[in-house]
Amino acid sequence: MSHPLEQSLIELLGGLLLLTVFAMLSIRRIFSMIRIFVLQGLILSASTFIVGLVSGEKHLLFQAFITFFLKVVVLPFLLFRLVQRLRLRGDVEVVLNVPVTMVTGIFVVIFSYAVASPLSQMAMTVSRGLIGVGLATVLLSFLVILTRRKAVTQVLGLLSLENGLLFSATNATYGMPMIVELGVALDVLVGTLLFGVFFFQIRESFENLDLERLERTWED
Amino acid sequence: MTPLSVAFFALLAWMGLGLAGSIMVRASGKPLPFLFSLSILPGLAVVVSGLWALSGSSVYSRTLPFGLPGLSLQLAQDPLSSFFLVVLGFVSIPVLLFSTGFFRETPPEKAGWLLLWIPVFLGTMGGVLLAADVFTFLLFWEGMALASFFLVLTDMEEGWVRNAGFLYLLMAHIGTGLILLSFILLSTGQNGPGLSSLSFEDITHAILPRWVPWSVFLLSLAGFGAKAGIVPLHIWLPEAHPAAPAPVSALMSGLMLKIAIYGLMRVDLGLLGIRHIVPGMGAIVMIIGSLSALFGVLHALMQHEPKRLLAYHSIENIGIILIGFGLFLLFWTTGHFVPATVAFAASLFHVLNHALFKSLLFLGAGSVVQKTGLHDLNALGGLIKNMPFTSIFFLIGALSISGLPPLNGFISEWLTFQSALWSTSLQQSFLQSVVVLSAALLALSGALTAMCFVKVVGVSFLGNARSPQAERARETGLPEKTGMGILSLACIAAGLLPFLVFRLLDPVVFSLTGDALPMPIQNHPWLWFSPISFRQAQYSPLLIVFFLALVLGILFLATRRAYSHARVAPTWNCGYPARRPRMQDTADAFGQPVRRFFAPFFRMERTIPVPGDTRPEYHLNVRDPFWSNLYGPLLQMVVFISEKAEKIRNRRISQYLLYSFVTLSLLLLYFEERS
Repeated sequence: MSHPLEQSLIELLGGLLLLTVFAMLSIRRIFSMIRIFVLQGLILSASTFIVGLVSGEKHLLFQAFITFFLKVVVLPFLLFRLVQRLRLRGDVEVVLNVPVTMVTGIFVVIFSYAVASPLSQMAMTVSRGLIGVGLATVLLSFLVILTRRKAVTQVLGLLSLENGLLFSATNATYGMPMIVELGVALDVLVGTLLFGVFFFQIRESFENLDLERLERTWED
Repeated sequence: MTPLSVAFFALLAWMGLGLAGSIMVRASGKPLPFLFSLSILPGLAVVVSGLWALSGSSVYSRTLPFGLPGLSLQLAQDPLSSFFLVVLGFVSIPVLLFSTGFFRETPPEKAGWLLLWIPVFLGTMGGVLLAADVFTFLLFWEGMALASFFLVLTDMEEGWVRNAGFLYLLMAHIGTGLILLSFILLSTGQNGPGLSSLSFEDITHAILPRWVPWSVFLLSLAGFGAKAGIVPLHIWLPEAHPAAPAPVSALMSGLMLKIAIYGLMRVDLGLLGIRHIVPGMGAIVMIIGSLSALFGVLHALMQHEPKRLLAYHSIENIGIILIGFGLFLLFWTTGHFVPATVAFAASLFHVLNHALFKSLLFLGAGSVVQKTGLHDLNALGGLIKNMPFTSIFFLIGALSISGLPPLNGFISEWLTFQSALWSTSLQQSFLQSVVVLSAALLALSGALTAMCFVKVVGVSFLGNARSPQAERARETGLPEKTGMGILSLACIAAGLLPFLVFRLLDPVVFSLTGDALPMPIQNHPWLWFSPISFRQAQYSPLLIVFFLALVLGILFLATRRAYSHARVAPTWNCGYPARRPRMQDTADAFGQPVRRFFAPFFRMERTIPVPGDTRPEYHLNVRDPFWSNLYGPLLQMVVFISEKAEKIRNRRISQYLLYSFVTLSLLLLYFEERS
């Protein structure tokens, strides 16, 4: 490999990304979760930028900027405002207790590395070793969605899942075509806005954002 | 300065004029319909650009400096696009002229809406024709669908208009989805561009796996067919056309359906490439084309709403275009190049013809509806006395669509038959029988079309008025008459001088097949039109006109003496003591024999009074059988599956999420085992 420094930087960022998802799994406060999401966006755009520099793929640089703008600036701003407007209390209720979730998470990481190994052998990119990290991020984010009860945290899990997808795509094939990336970026933005509207609607109807309430009304 | 830049700036001008027009209407608070006339200039420019490009055979292309990062919009103009550009520009002019008068009384907010979307609609249609990469194509294609959707919704305060608009949007999106799939299949072949560069140029060089051509062909046929209105994807046409204002219907039926045909030709001939076409594909196109032709005309005969009737005729004419296209594919792939090129020319000729006469007929029908306020043929009658110009123009359109010489509709159908006559040279008896049967169905639908327009013209323009509104109708204004007049003249000109149209078609056929039209060079092309050779199939429209005039003149002179003492009396005033307009044949009655004979094609609800009923009433409701036989069961199936799926739903969100999680993990495991 001709770029040892960049190579190890990318790997470091991959490790950090994995850490942030674990942090998301364990943390109990909404504001901290959003801050971690900001950190995740920062890591993602930095690693995309470096991969773009190393590989010379121009569109990855665009993508890094878009990611930065969207996930470090716009979305956190929207989410913070949302949480403040909803006047949510800081605590996050979890379905499963944290230690059990963490142990499950470790197994998920091992599983995703096993699954990703044939992919890594096929890929021709500089950072092919990190496909496993991306996949693990996706599955762990799923776990975040599964174990949280509040709607806002589930949306955070979904956004982090999308981060993992982007990370895998960047490292496996130097990213998806520009059109797909732009489309996804737009979807995420619109999705978050829509979720915001929904939250207000849900709270107006049930006076609570706990999804348990919603489930109970369906049974009636 | 190239033809492409002329066309491109014309399209930009259309979009700009749309915006400017709507802003001016909003600012002034008046309808300002004369603003439509400004859009005529880009229309002229588009015609000029198309003719200019067709005078040579070169392909012009350029990459626009804007678009998405790394994906600039690419445009190209080859003979096929140029021909369709000529059709687009030429038909847009009279329709826009017509609109300047037609929307005189429209309330300002609706006029602003139309002033915005009609030019944008025209511009996006041109954009589809110029697009040279998948992204640009889909961008304009969807823009076109949305603009026309908004135009259908002009009278959106009425519920049935909203329903029609929704149905149209739904079918348009299903079609676009299928088209997108076919593009994806095309671009993922070996050596193909993948999904990163989507230019048409790269796609043509792709080496495709064996199953891809058939899939692409079927997907594109269904996708573009949903827009063009082939059976059984035609259901939106009879709903959307009556809902839209007449000039919009004229543009949608006359032009937008042709853009769909262009898309089909572009994907199957340009991108898939003729080397991937097999005879079976031609047979399928022919079968669908003949079914659409017959189905369209049979249902048209049953209608008494003029615009709905014309919509069914659009289905029929798309069928005729597809029969020609299918003949081309079939003959070309079996190595019979002469009938193939003739069939292709016939198909393209019919594209032009249908654009001309169908927009003419829609404008005529629109004038009648506007001046009488009636949507029912059975309430019209005798309009030729009050609306002589509209009647004559409508009659010319009716003669054209019925395929009668010396008008233009005859020539394309005649060419199609000329090509079908070569069926004996085909080796496989299956293909032979498909060609023969299609030709027979084409002849049948031609005759039924003539019958249908005898009905329309006879019931609405001749005889006596069946309602006070029809009696009080007045002639339309000058711009309307001029618009319809231009289209009528074009119908006559294309019928009398078909070789001029053939000169436009030659480069198109040559560029897509590498083979020129077999038309021999002759000294008097305006007198004798011989598309194949001197020994075979000659046609002289001018001589036909001459002899027709001669015979009619002699008859007139011979009978003038006999009629010189005749009294002028009201129509049908012969011996009835109590003569009423109700005694005239109605549109429903006219279609009755056909309805009887082709009963399986319809779904009827009738109430027939029994003898002795003191208040007899007769009701008839003819429906499209595809609603109850295809779309109804489809809907039931969706509902059925949804109800079954309800059972695994146990009303816990985290459990649903778990389902997705487990599915994803299992798929990943499966993938790992495979690789």
